[in-house]
Amino acid sequence: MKKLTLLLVVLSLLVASPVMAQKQVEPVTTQYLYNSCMDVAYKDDTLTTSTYCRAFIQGAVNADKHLTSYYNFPKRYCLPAANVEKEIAGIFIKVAEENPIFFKKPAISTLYYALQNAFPCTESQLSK
Amino acid sequence: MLFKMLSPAPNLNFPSEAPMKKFTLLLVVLSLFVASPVMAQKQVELETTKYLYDTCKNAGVKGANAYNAIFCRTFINGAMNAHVHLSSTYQLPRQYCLPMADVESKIAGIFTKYVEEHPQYLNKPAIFNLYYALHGAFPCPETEPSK
Repeated sequence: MKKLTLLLVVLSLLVASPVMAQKQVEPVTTQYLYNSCMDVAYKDDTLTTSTYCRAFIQGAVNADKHLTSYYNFPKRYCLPAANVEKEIAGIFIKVAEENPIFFKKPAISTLYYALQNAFPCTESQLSK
Repeated sequence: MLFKMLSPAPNLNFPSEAPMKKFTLLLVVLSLFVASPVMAQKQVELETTKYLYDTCKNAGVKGANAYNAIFCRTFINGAMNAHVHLSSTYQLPRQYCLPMADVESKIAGIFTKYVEEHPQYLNKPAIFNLYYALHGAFPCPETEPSK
């Protein structure tokens, strides 16, 4: 009986936890995005995994551009031209391979780190 | 220098001076467009609402186009991962707060419904309408907007 009560208390605390109440989307891991982006870079560009890689990158880059502009904080990277998703996939793969510690970290932080290193902004781009 | 480079070669045989002037003008205009600083600094285009709407419209339906379904869900997933990361890194106010229940599978539908109900925003980028749709569906409690 005591055990059951304890279990119920623990479960209710877990359900009512602020962490749970503020649930956000589960972060995609670097390992997961890496696997799907390998197909974009080295295999068939039309595979569903390739679609996953490019769509995630697009969503992340679009969100960054929107929020950077909305909150007016400094750009961390400046992409050179349109349609660079395939190139970005390759850059992301390279950064992950060079920093294996990133594989368990969220893909989004590895992606932004990779973009920042590959496409730093010039002073004139930052001032715009 | 630019005009010198754009001048037609001497052996080109133009029938009269007027078409040649037009041709030179056309080349100058084209070269200015190609060399424009606007083009040189072009960034990745924001995805259009129409494109994301089209891919999301039937994303949850059985037998939906696989490309569309994956693109829709993953674009949204990338945007939501970015929202969590950026709002945490820069201490930005969250634009929405997801409830405890697993709602990720419903977000495509929430986005398409929002677009249908707000056709005036159809020409805005998809990311704009996605965040507004999420903001409307999952507003943050007043006590925690800046977390």
